[in-house]
Amino acid sequence: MEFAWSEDEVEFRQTLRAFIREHVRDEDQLLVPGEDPYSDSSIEFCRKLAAKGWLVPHWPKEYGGSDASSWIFAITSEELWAAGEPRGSQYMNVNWIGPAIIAAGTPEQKAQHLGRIASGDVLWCQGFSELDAGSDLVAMQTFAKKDGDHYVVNGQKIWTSYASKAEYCFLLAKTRQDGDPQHSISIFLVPMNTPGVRVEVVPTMLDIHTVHRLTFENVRVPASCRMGAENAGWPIVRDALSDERVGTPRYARAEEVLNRVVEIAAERGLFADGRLQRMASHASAACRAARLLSYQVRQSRSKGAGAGPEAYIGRVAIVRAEREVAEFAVEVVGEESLLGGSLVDGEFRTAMIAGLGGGSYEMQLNLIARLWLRLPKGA
Amino acid sequence: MDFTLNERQLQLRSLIRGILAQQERPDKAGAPVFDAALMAALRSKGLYRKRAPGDDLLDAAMITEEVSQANRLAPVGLQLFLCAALFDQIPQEPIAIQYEGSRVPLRYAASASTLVILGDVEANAYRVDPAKAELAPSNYVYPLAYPAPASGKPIGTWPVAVVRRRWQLALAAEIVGAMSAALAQVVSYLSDRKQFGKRIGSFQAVQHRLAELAVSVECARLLVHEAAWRDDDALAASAACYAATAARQVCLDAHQLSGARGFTLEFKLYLSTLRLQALSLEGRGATQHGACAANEHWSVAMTQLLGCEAGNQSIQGGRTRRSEPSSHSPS
Repeated sequence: MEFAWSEDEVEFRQTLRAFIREHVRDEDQLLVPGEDPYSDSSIEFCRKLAAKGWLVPHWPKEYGGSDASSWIFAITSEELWAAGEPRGSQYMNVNWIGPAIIAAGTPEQKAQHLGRIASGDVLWCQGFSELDAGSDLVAMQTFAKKDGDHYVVNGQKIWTSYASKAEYCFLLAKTRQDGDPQHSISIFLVPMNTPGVRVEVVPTMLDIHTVHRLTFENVRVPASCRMGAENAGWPIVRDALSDERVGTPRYARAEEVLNRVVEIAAERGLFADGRLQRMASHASAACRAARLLSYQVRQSRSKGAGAGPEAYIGRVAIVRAEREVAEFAVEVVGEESLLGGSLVDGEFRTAMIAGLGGGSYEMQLNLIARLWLRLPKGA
Repeated sequence: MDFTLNERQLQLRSLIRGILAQQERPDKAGAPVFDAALMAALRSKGLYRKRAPGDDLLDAAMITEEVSQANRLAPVGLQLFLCAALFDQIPQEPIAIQYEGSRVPLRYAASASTLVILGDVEANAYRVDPAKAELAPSNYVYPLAYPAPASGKPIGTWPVAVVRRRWQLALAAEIVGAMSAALAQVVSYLSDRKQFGKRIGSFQAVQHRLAELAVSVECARLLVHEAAWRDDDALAASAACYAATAARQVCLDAHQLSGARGFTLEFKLYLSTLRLQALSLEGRGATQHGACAANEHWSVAMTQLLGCEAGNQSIQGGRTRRSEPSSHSPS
């Protein structure tokens, strides 16, 4: 066990930061999340990142990566998340959509999608949640009925991020009505311009993020768009998403916000208060712990370990860190945090959604209880 | 960056676990004392060697954690973190440590012939006569006493920061061990005990509380390991702040979830939980550790900005820029 970065890793982080400062617009490097600020500019930024070999460094060479260590990708994720995630929705492409295609795609699917993902050219969305299938994802009702060399998809996905800009949807649908739900789901890589796909914005109180309703009405999808065997999509998705528990390094941005709010507290003469110092230090420790737990998961995943309970612990730690920073920030600025578009307003709303995206906090606790503490199965 | 134990660390862990398994816990009635036999066994196996330059303190953290997790009253934390680095000869007896001007009961003071006192700038060690310590009436497992007043010339003097961070590391590592012990015992009990025809540990309300505790324990553990490895002022204070806060949570929740059985002496949960309460308060507790961490972590911001006119900057529309890279790059 040791906690040092190699010289190459330190140098890479510095180089990447300089690149971010140069290529991400000033107004987008701010710590206040905006209304999907990057969907339009993410292509431009990701192409530049790809040209440097930094979009998918951890992928195998044959698919456009450079077989770099998982640490290089961890550093990339942290730096970009802390800079407001200028990859936009493309963080999903490189974190798990691409890797899922590498693991389970046909040669044609790999040829069609991986090159474009690796060069930063394409936006995706994920069609997972439904009104009655959120945490209990396998309860989904969206159905893909085989019809010759096509499937006909009917159903509705909801709370979908990035859908209005996406070119493809990584869609989960049932392909049989009876039987074990976990063995009834198939994956489809669906072009969003397929007739019958309708996208509507679902208004929310979040301000910092837009979600959509995706309706599929007799959408004819070629069978060649199905990824993996029929009814065998679930294990592929579960494995791909296990990286995603710690795939969004919220702690990196939260630390930046914390540092800024400490400055604000000091500017206002508030930071001599021992209670605030303790809150700030505890929040800082929580961010650091989330960082270390995430590293631990990344290391064991990179050594080929399956989805272990450490990933769920890491994710709970990430959510807690984000909430602690928000709590401290609100405590420092008080009613000013109610002002729209302010730093702390953004942090508060960010913390509100932290426990949902990527699997709900409570689901992580269930899994920790069962897999880490080995408590008896729930009643 | 590597989170797996190397060969040497694995050997160390199995050595210490072997020693703990061989040595029966002295379970005597009466006033608690420290476990001299265990200390002697650790010493005879060479675990008290003085560290060479470049050695990290992860070993010290691992040994302290393991001993604490076994609910053993051996004052190894301070011995390993403080003595090994600061004294030429590691004293055989426990060491007592306190901030200057405090009159608080200290762990092991009735057996300690060394008293370390932390001032604003320096920390000084004094020889004291343990026979002159005043026993403190207390039932928090550890033997507590008011030390005899320090007098005469110090036998050692060091910058306060180094002593404070070693103390905080020792405390935090001991807390991690005690939290692990408490959590393991409660999980084991609730996995068996049935109420309403079901094992208590199968109820989701209970599972979530235990899972929350588990996350706190694992967070504290990694914070301590990194802080020990780096031997860094800010990280040590930060780890101690986190651990001392978690200690209180684990103490109260472990008892709440164990019900009346948890309070009985035969159940022995108190061996870890009451220690946690004591450890959470030592060295002025999480508030002091947090203040130290804030001072270390944000000292530049504080010294630059504290002189500014208060409240002269509004964050209305407060779109602020990222701080400079150095602020969150690993040291």
